[in-house]
Amino acid sequence: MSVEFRLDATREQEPLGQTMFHEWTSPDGSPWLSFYRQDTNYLLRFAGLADFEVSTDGRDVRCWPAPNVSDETIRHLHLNQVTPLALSRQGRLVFHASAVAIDECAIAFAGTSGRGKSTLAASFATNATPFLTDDGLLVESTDGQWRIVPSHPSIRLWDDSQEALLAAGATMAPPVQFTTKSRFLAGGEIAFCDESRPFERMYFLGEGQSSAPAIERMSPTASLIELVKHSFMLDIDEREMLAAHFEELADLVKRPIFFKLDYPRSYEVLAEVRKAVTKHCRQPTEET
Amino acid sequence: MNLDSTAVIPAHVMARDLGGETVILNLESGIYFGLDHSGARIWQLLSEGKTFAEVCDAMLAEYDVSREDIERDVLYLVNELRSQSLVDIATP
Repeated sequence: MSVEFRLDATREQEPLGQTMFHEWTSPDGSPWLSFYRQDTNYLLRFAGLADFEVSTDGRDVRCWPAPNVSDETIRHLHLNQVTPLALSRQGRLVFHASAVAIDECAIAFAGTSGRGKSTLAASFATNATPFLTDDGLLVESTDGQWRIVPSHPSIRLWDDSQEALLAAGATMAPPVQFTTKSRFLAGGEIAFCDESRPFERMYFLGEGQSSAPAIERMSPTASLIELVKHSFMLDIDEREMLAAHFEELADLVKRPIFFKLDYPRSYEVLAEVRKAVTKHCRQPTEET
Repeated sequence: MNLDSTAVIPAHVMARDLGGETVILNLESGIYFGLDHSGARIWQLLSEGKTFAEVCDAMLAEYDVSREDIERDVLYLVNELRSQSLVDIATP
């Protein structure tokens, strides 16, 4: 990923004499990430954790950790939150989605937080189907072919998913300071694919209302609007970038590879889900 | 607004046809708006500068629907589009 990163010294988060233009909140409604515009860059403030400065072109990132924040926390924020946003400033497509490699193709699972995209990717990865990413899905167009690019070889899971999917002793990364999710490194029982793969399917995860795995084709219009919801975009107010993003998505959804996937949220069903997805993605798109 | 009115698509609005459906983007608000096949056809006719009455005439020729229903549907859609700042209305 072509984003230069520079780590600066620890500093207190002084109040900023400007108004944020955007904010992400945690599920409990508390501020998680505040976005500020500055003269030649953006300032991204993770309250109590770190300030990140992202150049307007998205090629350079500087970080000032808040006092007593661990290196692992900074690394996690940098790779999983800030880098996807910086890449969006380069005009690249990044989504809140996980992906696995089935045969020689990449299959993505998009969903809002809590829909189970990491759990589903981990379920595949612990059953010999390697994952490419557990979030921050980067899609690139090379010679007219869309491909999914692997990201950091780790998967974050809540305790119950960990207990259901991983044997005791899986290699765990050091904890971070803003979530109780654990992060597991690829290797051993967690298979990872470190090469880009052709982008052949994306499944938007439903709410878990279905009594069995159910796959339903989505129209290009519905697919585009879902992709927008799951896009990393640093500055949604900038028209030129927004227009270019729209054009890219409109091009992407011309292929009939977008589906809704719903299944009961029960670990016992995951084997059935894997089987249904694997079978579905091996069918020609016109037969799905 | 009446059936002799026309819709004017502002410069901050982009639209793309996707297999007979249409997605519209308001660049000012960042809001996306999806239209199914019949909505997409109405949008296409509106973007050609046809009056609402002419849009209804074309839809009547293409769809099995009553004039009363199509006039209601066209005016409803135009109002929706206007409420999202996706069209302005010009009335002679």
